[in-house]
Amino acid sequence: MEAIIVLEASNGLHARPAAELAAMAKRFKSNIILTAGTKEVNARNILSLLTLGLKQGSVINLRVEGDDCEAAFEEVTRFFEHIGQ
Amino acid sequence: MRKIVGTPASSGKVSGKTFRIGQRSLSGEGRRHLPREPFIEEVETGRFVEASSIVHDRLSAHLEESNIFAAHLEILDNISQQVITRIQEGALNALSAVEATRSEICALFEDMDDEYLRSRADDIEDLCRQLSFALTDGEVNPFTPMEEQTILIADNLLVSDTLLIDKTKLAGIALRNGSKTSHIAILAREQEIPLVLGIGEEIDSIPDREMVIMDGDRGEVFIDFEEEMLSALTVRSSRSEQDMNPAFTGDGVQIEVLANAGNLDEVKEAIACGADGIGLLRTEFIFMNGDDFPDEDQQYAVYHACASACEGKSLTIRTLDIGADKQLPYSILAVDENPLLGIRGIRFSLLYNGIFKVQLRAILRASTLGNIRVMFPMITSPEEFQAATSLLDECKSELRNEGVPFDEKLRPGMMVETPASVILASDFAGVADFFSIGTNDLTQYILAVDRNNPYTEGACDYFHRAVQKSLLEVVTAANAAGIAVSVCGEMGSDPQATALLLALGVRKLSVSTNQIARIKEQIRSQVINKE
Repeated sequence: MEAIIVLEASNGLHARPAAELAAMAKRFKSNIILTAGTKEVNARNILSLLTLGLKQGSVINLRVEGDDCEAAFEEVTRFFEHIGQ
Repeated sequence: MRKIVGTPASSGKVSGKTFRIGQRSLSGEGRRHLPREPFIEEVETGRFVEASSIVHDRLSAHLEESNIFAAHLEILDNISQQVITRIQEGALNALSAVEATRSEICALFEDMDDEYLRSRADDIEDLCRQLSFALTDGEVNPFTPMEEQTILIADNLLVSDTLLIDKTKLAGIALRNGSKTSHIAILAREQEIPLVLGIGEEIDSIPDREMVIMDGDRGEVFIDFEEEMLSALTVRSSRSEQDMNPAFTGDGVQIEVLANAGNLDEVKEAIACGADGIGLLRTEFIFMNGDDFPDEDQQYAVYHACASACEGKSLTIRTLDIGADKQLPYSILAVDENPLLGIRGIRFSLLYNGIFKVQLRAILRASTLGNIRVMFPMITSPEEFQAATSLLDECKSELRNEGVPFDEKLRPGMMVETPASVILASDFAGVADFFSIGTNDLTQYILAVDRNNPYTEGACDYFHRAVQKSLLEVVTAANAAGIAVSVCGEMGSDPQATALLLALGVRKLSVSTNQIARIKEQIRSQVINKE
């Protein structure tokens, strides 16, 4: 499953939400892959997430692959909506 | 007098004795314990796993203090995996593997063009240092020699350092390096420790173990200052004096001395120091610490804990007052051109009433002990007060329908801090359950002076006749309507203003915890009903 997300959080994806996302990704069997620019990272890895350098307005390609991809996809997209509010 | 200027990173003006922390590295002792024996993969992996779990446990123990620690746990997990891979695939001993991992990850971040991301290198340094210390014999806590009321001087501090510092002795921090977006700066703001950073070379000219004054609002450190500067400080001694006895004036009138608090720890400290209750619980802290608006259960837990900590005494909760100088990190508001006159206090809550209702429901649910009062900030018209009250009533009926218990007697009061609320004081006295006068905002709005503007310093004076006359109007209106009125701004905490406030008819003060004993002493020296 794939989606294009525009990051709305005014401070970008900083350490604390990145920690939340990494912890979330670890709960699923599926691989949650984020691509921004030329970099592609696995959301389980907080340091990789941070090195994406996501700022407000960054365009992210989200890809979820695996058995529980539907649940994972829903939770991750909700996470991005939530931090953008 | 000499002044050294850096970047202001956490507010508060304090005096204290400097204490310098030098460069910290593994002690010679630690190095000597490094294994010289041949490399055995299982041994090194085992040692590392043990060290990692020591650091893990220490961070876990502090999860409630700040969610920075949750982020650190996540990063630790990641670093640990990389270190173990290095031990296994690179045949490195545990300590070298930590060092190799540290330099590789730090290099990644230090090259980034974003200041925030560069600051993350600090977090990596911090965790790797903790791992190294846990792998060797560790280090002697370098902060142990700190005396009372210390201003810490260092090149940089890391989040884990704060776990080693006795915060009852810490008055402020001055750093050579650092950025406002570093986690140490965020933590200092959360814990209200004044911080000046980015001082640069000049930090070397600050003498060790000397009295200095630092101003975290302007980013200044004063050396060899005049005595008068010290007395002009609102002294924030790091430990507050106790006075558990009630305060009666010389002629037997009891004056309630409540305290202002900004979080659960401050509530506990105030009650332990003899406050008759909490006259102002600011709720911004619950909103500032997170990355998003806190949900109802999170807020309920905090309010309920604060209400229990009051041990039966009253707890007055002020609903969210963001805007002006208090902005949320995730704020949904565009920055006002003139924030002091923009969307702040109740205006924000009425505009985003979904967020407001979450807070009101949480407060109501926490009110079952019967000691909670709630008040609205920045009220300018009775209609606004009514609108806020209707939302409160709406929440009450929702809870009733859901069968959730709350204090049915809870009625809202208001902050009096705008000229409009003074002018219409008698109208408001008819609808509000109580008044709490916020002298800081009231003074600056009445005198049209920004209290944070260095050029108008001294002009924002609560002894101004216009302010005195306003206070008198408000107290008179409250007394006529038979509602309670208290003063909760800095004026209440100023012992030089106590006589004036009592003369104006104020019988309830809400003060800084470190002023409770001093204000009670002042009250006891006053006589109200002079013959």
